[in-house]
Amino acid sequence: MEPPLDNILIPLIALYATIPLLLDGFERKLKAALQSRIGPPITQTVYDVLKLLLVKETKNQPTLPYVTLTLLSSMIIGLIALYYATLYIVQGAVINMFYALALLAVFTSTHTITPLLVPNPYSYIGGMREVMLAVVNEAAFITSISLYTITLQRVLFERTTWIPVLVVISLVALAAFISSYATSSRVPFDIAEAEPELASGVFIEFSGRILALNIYNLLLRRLAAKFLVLAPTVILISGHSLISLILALLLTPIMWALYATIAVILGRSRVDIAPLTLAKIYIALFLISITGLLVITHA
Amino acid sequence: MPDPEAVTKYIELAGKNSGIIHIEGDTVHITVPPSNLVDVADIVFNKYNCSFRVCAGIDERPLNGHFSLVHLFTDDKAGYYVVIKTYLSGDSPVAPSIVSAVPAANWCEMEARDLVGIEFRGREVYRLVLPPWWPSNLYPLRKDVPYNYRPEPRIESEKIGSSVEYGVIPLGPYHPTLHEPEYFELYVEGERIVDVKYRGFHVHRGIEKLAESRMSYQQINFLAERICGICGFVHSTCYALAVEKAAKLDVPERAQFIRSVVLEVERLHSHLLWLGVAFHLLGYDAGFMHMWRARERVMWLAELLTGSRKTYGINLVGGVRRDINEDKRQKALEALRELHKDFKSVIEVALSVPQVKKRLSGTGVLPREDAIKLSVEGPTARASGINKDARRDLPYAAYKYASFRVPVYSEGDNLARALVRIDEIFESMSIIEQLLDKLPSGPILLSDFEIPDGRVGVQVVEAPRGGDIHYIVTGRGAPYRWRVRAPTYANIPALRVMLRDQPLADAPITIASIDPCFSCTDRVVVVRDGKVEKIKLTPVV
Repeated sequence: MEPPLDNILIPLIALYATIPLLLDGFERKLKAALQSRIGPPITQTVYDVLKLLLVKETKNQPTLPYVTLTLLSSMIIGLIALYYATLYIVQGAVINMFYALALLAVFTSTHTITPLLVPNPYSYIGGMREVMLAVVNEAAFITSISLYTITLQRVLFERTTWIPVLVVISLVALAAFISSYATSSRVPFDIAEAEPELASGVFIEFSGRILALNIYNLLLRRLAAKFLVLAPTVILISGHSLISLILALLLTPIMWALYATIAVILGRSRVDIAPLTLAKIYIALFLISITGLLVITHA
Repeated sequence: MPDPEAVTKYIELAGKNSGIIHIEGDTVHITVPPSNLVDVADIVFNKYNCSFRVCAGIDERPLNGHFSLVHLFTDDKAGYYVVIKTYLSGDSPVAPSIVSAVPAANWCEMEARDLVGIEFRGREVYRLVLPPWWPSNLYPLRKDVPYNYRPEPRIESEKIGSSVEYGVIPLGPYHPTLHEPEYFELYVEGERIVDVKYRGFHVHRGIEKLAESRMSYQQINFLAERICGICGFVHSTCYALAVEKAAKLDVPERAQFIRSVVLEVERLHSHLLWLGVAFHLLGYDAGFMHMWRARERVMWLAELLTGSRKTYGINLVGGVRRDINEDKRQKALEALRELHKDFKSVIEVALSVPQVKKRLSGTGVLPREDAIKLSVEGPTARASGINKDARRDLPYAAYKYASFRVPVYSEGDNLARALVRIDEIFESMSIIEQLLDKLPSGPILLSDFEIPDGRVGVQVVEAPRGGDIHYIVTGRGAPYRWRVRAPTYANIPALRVMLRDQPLADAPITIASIDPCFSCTDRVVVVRDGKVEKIKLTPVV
């Protein structure tokens, strides 16, 4: 049975569009608590973005209209990706999950290239750093989530509790978790917008509405990266249903809090170290997982 | 105590170079003709292994018709200050440059050229301190130039460098990493720095001229502490000690204890501040926040002991203005115990963060040879294997009554500089505890004294960033010449060595690793009834 989504489509998209701002406010509050600070109110990010939306850009670069268009399109693609992930959770059909993944890849790539549209050395450096990280991480993200979805589907249909399968799933889940964390551009992978290193890096020429859009895209990316890891996981607990969707929505703040806590306890990696470390981790995890999968398939 | 045996070599040196020597307490004064200056400086720096501290040009025309140039060294092993002086023509002062023998003298010679108009032979000359629009024949530290003379400023943009071979990354004059105005031009190949240019002195404030022209000995204490927003007490102590040395004043012991205690409180606050900033630059903001939380206890301690969170306002020539009673002593000891526990736990966690360790280790290396050549100061020197600390080598205030270790590391990287500061935090806490335990009774301020004309006092105080030096020639009611050199002045030239061949991402932490203090306060304001007022100065001419 495929529960209908048409009736709740608009509220759902509105929810996806709003919660990144509130979750970021929650993250700021949580980080403050961990750092012995009071921190801003949870609604602070909403206020920040609203205020920026009302402020005119301070610098009129000739390429800013293209930046605006790119950011708007990436935002729309991001929301569609979340919609397809929801379809997968509620109605099933693995193809929806792959649509979501493909759209997220387009969303991330579009958002990644925006700094390269601005003629400023800091923007270029920040943008190139982002591209370098994305080259390693996005491929791993797509591979790990695909493998994760496929292996979980197998567990779901075969109802297997065979230890080797569970071990492979755990390894793939770990890769998915790491890549989703790296996609969220938090410490130690915030090398592109490393504010002290590069005078705000990718954000340097952005102000007013464009800065608001850029920040919003980053937060939406964080939500999408988490949601795509949660989507196959909740299916395992309560199958394809609205309950799974509610569960995914309830787990999102918990996962957000986990990511925020990790970000608090780590420092920033260096531009040459981060992609290399990630590549080594992914190669090891994928080699073991794929070998395991081959062994399981032939067993 | 200075080693009397060590003086023999300076007597011989003066004799061989047609010099005149006289020794006063811990200071060896050698006056040599300009023709022998380079040879003498070469021997003192390269053979006797003295540290070069600074040089100063003096307009002595009203006194004897000459200009003079003094080079200040310290013999840290023997515990002596070595002042090499040469007289120059009163009409067109030209001195031989000692840069070929003492590379560390590079900036101070150019400063003497800018401010006093002494020309230097045998080196490349350029404008260092004064802005480009400043008239070329106007030397503000000459006695015939009124302190309030203001040439009409001309706004001129300084172009950034260009390179066809490398990318040019401007860093400053305003940048999130740099909390004060300075400008670095990084030449990069990809993300690797291949060369660095530095342009500083954007807010030269003319403090020396102001003090010599308009202030009294006691007023200058309050100006001196405004040289730096972090180590203001270091400057006022250094100034007061230099004047007291020149006037041969016997300052009450209790005052010297209080000075040492407050100096160490300032070191604690400065090092904790630096550690917080360093963690922030490494993206480890939890370390930043917790370090500054721990530092808050030190600010409280400063307020308890001095009445202000910034340790301002208690130093005077002849002692201090604020005593430490038994209640304060007990509270301070309790605060130190809590700080020790808190800092230990926070720093252990912070140093175990993999990114922090990885990014500090092996980056921004300053080899020992370069550190010696450039006469770098403080933790920057000690992290490169140079075992010097004025508190031990040239003891002042009450340091001779405390037992402490001088941490020295040989790696010369950012981690070594961080570790020196961390060790010093523990040592400072111990020094304060020892001094508070031994605090003698008695007065805290000399009630009646005179400061004769024409005396010289030179003092180094080990600031959190290294040796701070104040040189005084006494005058009537005010110093005839007051030369100040903060430790960052000696450490900045080393950044070129540290930054070369480093990843661009490590530039901010490497620049921060010398704990630079660029301009601090750039003007003096009067706050009256909560309102900021401009000072109205009466023209002298």
